[in-house]
Amino acid sequence: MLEINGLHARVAQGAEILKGISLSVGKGEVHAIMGPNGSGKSTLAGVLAGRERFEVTAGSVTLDGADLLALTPEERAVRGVFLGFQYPVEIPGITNAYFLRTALNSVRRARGQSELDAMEFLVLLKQKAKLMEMDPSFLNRSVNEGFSGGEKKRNEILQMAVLEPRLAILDETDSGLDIDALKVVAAGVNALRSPERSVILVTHYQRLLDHIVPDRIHVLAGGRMVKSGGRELALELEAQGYGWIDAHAGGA
Amino acid sequence: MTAPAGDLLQHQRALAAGLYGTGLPALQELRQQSIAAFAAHGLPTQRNEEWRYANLSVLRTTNFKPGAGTMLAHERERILLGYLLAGIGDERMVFVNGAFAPQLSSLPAPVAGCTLTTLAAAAATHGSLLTAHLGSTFSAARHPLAALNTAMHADGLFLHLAAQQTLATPLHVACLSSADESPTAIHPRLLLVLEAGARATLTLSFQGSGPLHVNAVTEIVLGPGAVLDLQVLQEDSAAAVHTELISTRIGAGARCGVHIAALGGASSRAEIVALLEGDDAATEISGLIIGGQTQTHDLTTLVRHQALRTNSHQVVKAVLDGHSTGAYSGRVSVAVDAQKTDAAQSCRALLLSADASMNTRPQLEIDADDVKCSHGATNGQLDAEALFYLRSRGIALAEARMLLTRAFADEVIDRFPLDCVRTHLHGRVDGRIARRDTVGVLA
Repeated sequence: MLEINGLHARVAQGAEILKGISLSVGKGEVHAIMGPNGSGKSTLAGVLAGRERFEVTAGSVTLDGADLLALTPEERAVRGVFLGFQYPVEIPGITNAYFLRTALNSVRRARGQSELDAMEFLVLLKQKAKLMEMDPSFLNRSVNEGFSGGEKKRNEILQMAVLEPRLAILDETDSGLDIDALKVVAAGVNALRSPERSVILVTHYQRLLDHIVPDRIHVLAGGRMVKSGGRELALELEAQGYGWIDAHAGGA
Repeated sequence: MTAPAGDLLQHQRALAAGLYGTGLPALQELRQQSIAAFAAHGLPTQRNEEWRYANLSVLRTTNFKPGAGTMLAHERERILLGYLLAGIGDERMVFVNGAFAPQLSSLPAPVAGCTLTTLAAAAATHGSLLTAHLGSTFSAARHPLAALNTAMHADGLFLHLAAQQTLATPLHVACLSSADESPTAIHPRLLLVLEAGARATLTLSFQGSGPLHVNAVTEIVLGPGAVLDLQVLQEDSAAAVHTELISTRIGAGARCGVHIAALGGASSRAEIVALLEGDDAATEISGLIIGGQTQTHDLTTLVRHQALRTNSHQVVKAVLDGHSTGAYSGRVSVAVDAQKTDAAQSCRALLLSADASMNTRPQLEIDADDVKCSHGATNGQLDAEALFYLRSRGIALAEARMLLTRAFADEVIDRFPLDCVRTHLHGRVDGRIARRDTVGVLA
């Protein structure tokens, strides 16, 4: 489904961050990408979602055979790519409900489905909010404004639940969460697992993987994939720390 | 004196005998004094600090003739229908090129204690009330263009509410102007006098076509405890110069809201003067500035706190695109005995293009010691991270820009008291962002 081949990327006009990433994610699979700070995890997530501050200098990314890199962020989104932000953005003056309805209707238009009116949407949204254990009053507040860290992350997963992407990239969704919030977020992601939906979990810590069990784990260091494996790889990292990986990566 | 100011004096001399109020010596004298003040001071120039950001040069180079009172019927109807469809103006007074148009107006049924009529009619029936207040709220020497209006206005609106009276339905005052072929000057005038405890809400709109100079003056006198909200929709033609003075005297415990949207015109300057004369008087000023192409919009405010516990709250937001320029000069003066004053002002500009610019000048002159005064100003662009956030959810770039721009403008639009006016302004903002290269508010 998602094929990344020899991907090189840098901050526009800056130093290279990704130095040849290859990754294949099949339909319905959950892949975790782990690595120390500065290894390029968030850059990879940003490149996949179409962040303009990154520049791809070599390699390719295809989604179901189509060139993902040629698309704008919104075109990627309506084709089913979803990025869960590490730092969700506060947008004063736009309510969560209005924002999500506008987004969902953009996606539905692109899929050739009819748009939902405010009432139809509200019914759907309330049902999804329940899944994320979110108080309905959140829906009428400005997007992420004044939300706690945990509320923001739950709001990200709520958006994912509403938009029903085919490929969800969750960038450090676990960061800044206490254990209770982590469980809610993980339960939300697990509820959304399906044979039609692939997930890439970007995380620094193994603990998220206690709650969302991935099919594959990849370790990124110095802009390269240095190791791939099953669940046992996470446990190894937990026991030995990233220093062990850095040694493997040859100090990159 | 420059030639066009000479032209203006000549036009005034030609008109004077035909203007309303010849039977009121006090009004005659006021008109005389006003034209004398204008002749003495001439048109303001950018060398005058208070007029620095107003681009009025065309007034000095063009001979604007007094409006003759004609406008194509379909054009009038199109404008009025637009407002009616928006839900604005079920009850309305329409002025076409400064002249009252009774056939286009729909006045509320007469109520005892409420006088709603034209200035010309009021001169005959309420002469002493009219002369007591007309021109009483500002100094002709300090406001030469308003003085010119006093000397030359052909008619206007007169509203008097006796104590405790309420204007049941919000009134729409529509000033329609048309320049046909040659540059035309129109002097709309409103006088609103609310006695103790009276209440009213008005919407004043300006629309038209051609090379116009629309030079409006609204005077507001509020007795103790009176409440007035004035919403101004400045949607003049793309070729127009719009100058406007809104001057208010606010009595004890009275509250005056002035909410102004500067959308149209090649160049506009609106000045709001609020005199907080009685204890506990309050004013709220809201300014929405939308600029595109080479438009310039100047909003100047002067709030004078002259009594105890007076309150002023100003919020201004500017959305500027193309090569447009916005300016906000907000002066707050607190007299030595105006203790417990609470004055706040904020001005934020959103610059949608690299060539747009905003000039913000807060000025605080505080002579009392027990006061709370704040001001804040920021200029910025759309937040790139917020734009990416919306796009990453499937919202197209153009729509994302519109949503963020609307959210920015909403803070001030939400202060306009009437729902229909807020909806109307949302439509205007969305339309302007969608058609980024179009100045006029007309489709």
